[in-house]
Amino acid sequence: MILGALILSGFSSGVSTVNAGMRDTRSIYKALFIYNFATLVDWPSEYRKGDFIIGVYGNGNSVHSELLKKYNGKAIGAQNITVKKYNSISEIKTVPHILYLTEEKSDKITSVSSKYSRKSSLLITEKEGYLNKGSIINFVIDRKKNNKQSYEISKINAKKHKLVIASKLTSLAVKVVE
Amino acid sequence: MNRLKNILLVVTFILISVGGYAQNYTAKAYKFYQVKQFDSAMLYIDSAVVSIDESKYSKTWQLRGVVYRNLEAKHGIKYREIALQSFLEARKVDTLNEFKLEIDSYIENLNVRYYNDAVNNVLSGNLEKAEQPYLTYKQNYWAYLDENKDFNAIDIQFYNALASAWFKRNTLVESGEKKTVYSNAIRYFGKVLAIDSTNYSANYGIGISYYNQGADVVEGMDPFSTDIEEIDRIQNESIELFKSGEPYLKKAFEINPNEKEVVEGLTGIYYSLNEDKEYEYFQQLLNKMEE
Repeated sequence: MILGALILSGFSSGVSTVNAGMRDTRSIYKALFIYNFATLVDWPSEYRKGDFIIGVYGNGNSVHSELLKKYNGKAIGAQNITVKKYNSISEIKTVPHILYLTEEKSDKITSVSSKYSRKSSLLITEKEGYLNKGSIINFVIDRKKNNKQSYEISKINAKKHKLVIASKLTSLAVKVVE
Repeated sequence: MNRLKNILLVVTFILISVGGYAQNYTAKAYKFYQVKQFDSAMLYIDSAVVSIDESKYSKTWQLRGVVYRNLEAKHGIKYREIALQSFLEARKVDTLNEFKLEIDSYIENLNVRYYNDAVNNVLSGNLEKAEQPYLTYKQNYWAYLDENKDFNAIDIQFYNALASAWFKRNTLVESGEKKTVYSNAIRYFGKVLAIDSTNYSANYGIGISYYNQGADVVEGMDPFSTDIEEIDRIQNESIELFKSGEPYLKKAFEINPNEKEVVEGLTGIYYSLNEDKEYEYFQQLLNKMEE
């Protein structure tokens, strides 16, 4: 048609070569929430020395990878964050400040909760109704607000573990059990 | 190639004929043109076109057009414009349409340089300057060659290419510039959809541009300074972007359900939107495609 016209080729496949595929946004949010929980919860004085341990109970979990990548070795107050991963309850030797039970391991909350009933460990789960089973913070999806990643809190359970939760944290929770 | 040869033959014929008119300036210009001394040829042909005797001949203006066309590389695009105006004048004085085919051919082949500029700008990454020469090419075509020319197919090809080039740039720029890059990609893919709403590439391109922006917003959160209220704000922002991309990816999937990239895109969008039912559906589909 046109003498000497250049040809634009390969454009249709050009878009797909960049950043296609899934990016794990869920894990980023959860890891950031967990870090924020660490800053908005008060532990008893005996827990404010040594490393600040964030444990993840569950296999091959990407939240663990996020925590490890972004927070391991970093300071929170006067403590250094250590991120650990456990595949079974028996692997947990030192009481973690925070113990996040992945969705697949959340049903172990009852046994974890009883094992740490006298310890100040912030137990986080990820299944509906699990505040009733001993969890202190439970990750939920807020269906009323565009499916946002959110959380619910049991202040009763927090008190049992001698943890004090900042009002800023409770004010943005989907549900707070007093 | 044959067409090029024909054009060269026509040019030669015309220029030989010009010599036959024994017009002083034109003949002298032609002699310099023959030996490729285009600057000297320009001096004489510019005198010829202001001469009452010589400016009435179409061939004088045609020679001026080819001289200026040859000088473009040395003196810049302004000379292309003068060449075009010369060919138009050549057509104007050709009242008997004696040289219509030749002049149209000159104009078409000169005008295609604007198209080539546009394409070269896309290919070389000079994206900000890519659209204007393309628009000039089209406007000239309608004004001087064929007012009914349908550019839809070429528009689709050009704007898809330009949008894709903008999209690809996202890997090369700092995070602060990504919004501009994606906005341009979406704008140009949008021009394709305005012509053909069922174009797969444009639907996919817009969908994935929104998806990437949403994911960029999430990945860009500072791990230490993003407080709980800021997370909430960022979730609102990213959800809006994911939701903006969703209908375009769904449309692309409708057009081409066997394309893995669009299934990946939808899997990512529904995962990020926490819509598990849809996410699982597309994840399973993706797994089957990868088997």
